[in-house]
Amino acid sequence: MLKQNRELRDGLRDLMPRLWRYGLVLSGSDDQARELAQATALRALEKADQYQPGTRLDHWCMAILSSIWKNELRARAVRRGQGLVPADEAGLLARDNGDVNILAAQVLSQMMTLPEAQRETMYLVYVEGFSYAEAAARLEIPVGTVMSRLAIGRKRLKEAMGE
Amino acid sequence: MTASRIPTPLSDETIVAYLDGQVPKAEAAAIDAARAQDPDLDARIAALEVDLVALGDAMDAILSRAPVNALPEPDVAQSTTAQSTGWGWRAAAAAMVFAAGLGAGILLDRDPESPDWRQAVADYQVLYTSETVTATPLDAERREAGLAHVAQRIGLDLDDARIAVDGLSFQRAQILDFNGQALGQLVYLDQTGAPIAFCLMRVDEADSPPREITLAGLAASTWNADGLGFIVIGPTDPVVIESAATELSARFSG
Repeated sequence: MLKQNRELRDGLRDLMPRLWRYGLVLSGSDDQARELAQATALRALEKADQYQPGTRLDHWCMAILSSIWKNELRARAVRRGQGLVPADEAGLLARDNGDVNILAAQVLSQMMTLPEAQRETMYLVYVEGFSYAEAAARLEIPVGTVMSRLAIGRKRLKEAMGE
Repeated sequence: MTASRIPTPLSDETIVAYLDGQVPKAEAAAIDAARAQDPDLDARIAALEVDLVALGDAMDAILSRAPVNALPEPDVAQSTTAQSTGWGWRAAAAAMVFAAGLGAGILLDRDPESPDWRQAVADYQVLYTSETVTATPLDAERREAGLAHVAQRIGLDLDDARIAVDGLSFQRAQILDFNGQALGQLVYLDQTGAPIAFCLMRVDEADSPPREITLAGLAASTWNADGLGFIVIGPTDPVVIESAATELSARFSG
C-alpha cells in the first residue's frame, strides 16, 4: 500500500504540468489551471485506493480534473466573469521572457475560441492521444458524438487559423 | 471503381475518421480516389484538415511553461540534492499536500489533528534549501509580479520598501493554499544562504506581538495584527529571525 502510494505520488508529480495544461485548456485561466491541477492532486491522493495500479494514471487524473472543473469550478468562474478568457489575456504569455513561441500562442488562442465541448474533445484526441473510444468513455458520449465534435472543432480551428 | 464502396455524400465524421487514419484501408483508398475526381469533396476534406503537428508542437511549448508552483516543489524534487538525500518524494508529497491545504499530516508522520497554518508553513519550510531558491532565480520583474499578486490576494499593500529586511535578500513571493485560504509566502536568503520565509495570511485571531518559537526544528517568530497572521521562519540563527521579525512587525501592524 505504501509502495503504491509512493508510486501514485511520483506519478502525480510527473503529471502536474500536463494537468495544468488540461486545466488551462478547459478554463482559459492560468490561475484556475493551477487550482485545478492542485485540486486534482489532492483528490487523487484522497481517492488513492480507487486507483488501479497498471491502469492509465494520466487518464484517471484527467477524469478527476475534468469533473472538478465541470462540477465545482466552472460555475464559480462564470459567476466571477472569469470563464472563457482567451489564454493570451490570462497572463500565460506575459510570463515568458522573450522565448515566446508565437505560433504556440496563436494556436492556443485559436483553440480557446472553440466551445468547450469541441475544445476538450479536440484536446483529448489530438493532444493527449485518446482514441475515439477512450474519449467517448471519458466524456460519457457516443463515439459518433466524439467524431462530430472533432469535425466541428477541426472546421472552426481551420477557419481560425485562417487557412 | 473503388469509389462505389464509400457512401455518398461522405459525412464530416467519416472525413474526420479518414483524416485521422481511422477508416479501413480499402475505404481510405476509395476516398483518396474519389477526392482526386471530385473537387467539391476535396474542398470539404481540405476544410477539415488541420495542422495537427503544429497543434501538438504548440501544446508541447505550453507544457514547458507550466508553472513550477502548480505543485510548489516538483523542481526541488527533481534536483540532485533532493535525490541524493532521498528527500525528493517527501518534498513533492509535502508540497502537494500542503498546497492542497491538508497540512502535512498524511505523508509526513505528523499529528493530523494539528491544523495550525504555522505548523504547515514550518513543515514546508523544512524542505527548502538555498538551492530551492537559487536554482530558479527570478528577475526583478517576476519578483515584483509575485509581490503584487500576493498583495492583491491577501489584501494589503506590499512593496519593496515594506518587505525589505536588513541582512536578507528578497527572492520571490508566491501564493500557497492552506485549507482553501490564500497564504502569502515571501522567500529571502540570509547572509549564509539559508532560505527564510516570511508568510502571512488572514486569520481570525487576536492581535499579538512577535514571539519566538521553534517549529519543525526551525527558528521562527510569529505575530498577529489586524486580522493577519505572520511568521518568519528558517534554518538559521534565531537572532536573524528575531531581528527580521522585529523589523517586519513594525511595518505590519497597527
